[in-house]
Amino acid sequence: MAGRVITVTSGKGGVGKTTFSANVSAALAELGKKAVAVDTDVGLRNLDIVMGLENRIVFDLVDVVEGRCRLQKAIIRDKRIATLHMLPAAQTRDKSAVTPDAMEKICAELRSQFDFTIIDSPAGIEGGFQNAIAGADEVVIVTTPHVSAIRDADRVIGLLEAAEKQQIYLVINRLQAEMVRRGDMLDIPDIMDILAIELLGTIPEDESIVVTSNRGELASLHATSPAGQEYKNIARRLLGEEVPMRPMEEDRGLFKWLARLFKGQ
Amino acid sequence: MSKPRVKLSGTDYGLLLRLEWDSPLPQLLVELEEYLQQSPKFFAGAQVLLEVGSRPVLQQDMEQLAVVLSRYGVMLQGVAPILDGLERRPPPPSRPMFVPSPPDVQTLVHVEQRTVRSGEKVAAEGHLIVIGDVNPGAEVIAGYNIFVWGALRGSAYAGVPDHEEAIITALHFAPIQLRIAGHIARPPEARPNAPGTPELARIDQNAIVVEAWERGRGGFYKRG
Repeated sequence: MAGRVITVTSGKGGVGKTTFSANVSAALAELGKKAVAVDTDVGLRNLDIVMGLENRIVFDLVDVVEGRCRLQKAIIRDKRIATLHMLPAAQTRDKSAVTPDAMEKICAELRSQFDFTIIDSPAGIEGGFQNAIAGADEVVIVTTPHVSAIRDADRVIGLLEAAEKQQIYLVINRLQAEMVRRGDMLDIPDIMDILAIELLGTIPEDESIVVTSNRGELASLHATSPAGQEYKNIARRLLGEEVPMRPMEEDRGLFKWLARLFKGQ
Repeated sequence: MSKPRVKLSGTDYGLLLRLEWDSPLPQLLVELEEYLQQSPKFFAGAQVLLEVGSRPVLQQDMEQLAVVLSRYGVMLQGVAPILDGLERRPPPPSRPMFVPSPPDVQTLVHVEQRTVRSGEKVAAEGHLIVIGDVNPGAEVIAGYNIFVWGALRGSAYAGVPDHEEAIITALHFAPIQLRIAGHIARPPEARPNAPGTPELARIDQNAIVVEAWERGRGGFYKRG
């Protein structure tokens, strides 16, 4: 089997890399693909918490790199979806415990065992980032409609182009349709104009993400979460399905829709 | 055997050829040939400077030396004054007095066909043409003019260090900062969005001015 290794990165912290990695891995697994989410944020691991697998960690990425266990032993199987897996980062070490060479070897092994290897990258453009992209076939850039996040995304795209990564996709997270409509938030075309890479999807601001992440539940498995549905759509696009982009209007909700109808807009 | 009259040595400025100038030239030529013959392939492709000190060197002598050197694939790059004790010693360099004239930078054009992204820097000695956008956080620098066939949203420094006649143009002109020669300008806060038509920045009366590019103005954009 020759699976796909996809790294999720952003430059800026807090834009939703980990939430994206967890939910898209879960959505791919739910669609029947064998998927593994890999946390490369050594020293600041979070993916296990968001996926609700924290209490099942025995071995981690650094144990594999340093030869204390085989890769197979460090990979955790999800309790909800049989085809979903996770490889946790070490919490008591730092980024220097892993090297790009070691990551390339691990990615090669994962590629032969999984349909999808989703690598959650740490914030920044230093060693941890270099580790995260070393074995990637494709890269997803997560950004938010904030000038600083877009600036960092642009910087990261430049570094990826220099590293000769050919497949780079953009995901715009935490879009607030209402603010965009008022002209208080950058619009999708504004962002695309600057970053000029393929758009994989846009994810609306969704309070339920906070709740599900805190509980270790996965929004993409909840039919009622707008963001969760969009993670699912992104997973389907990664599989080559033509899924239309989410129209802005959907975010306004039924009540607001009625209100607009009432006002004759 | 007496002290060698010919010596090639590596210095911080490249290979240096030293001759005992008190000896007659024909003898020096013979010894140079012998010296090169010892390792005929070793020096192939090398460039050497000839140390002449302060004495005048006849062109015909230079030519004869160059002929011998070229037989072994060595190019006589120029002459230098005494570089005594310079081996593996840092500057100040005595600049070669005779070097092939450098290309005129005003005729050098560097073309960059891509999006120049945040954190990236493109520098050109002569003119710089960017076919693509210059994004916020990117820097483009040129010794003369800068042309952006796309959107200029980053910083552009033209005429570095002191060519006041340099201009900066872009199809969509929205730079974070502009510099031409020693002058610095940033767009006024009240104009966050450029009109999206080609514009041009140049120095006029000691300040950078930005104006719409108009057809048929031709040489008007020249300074003076």
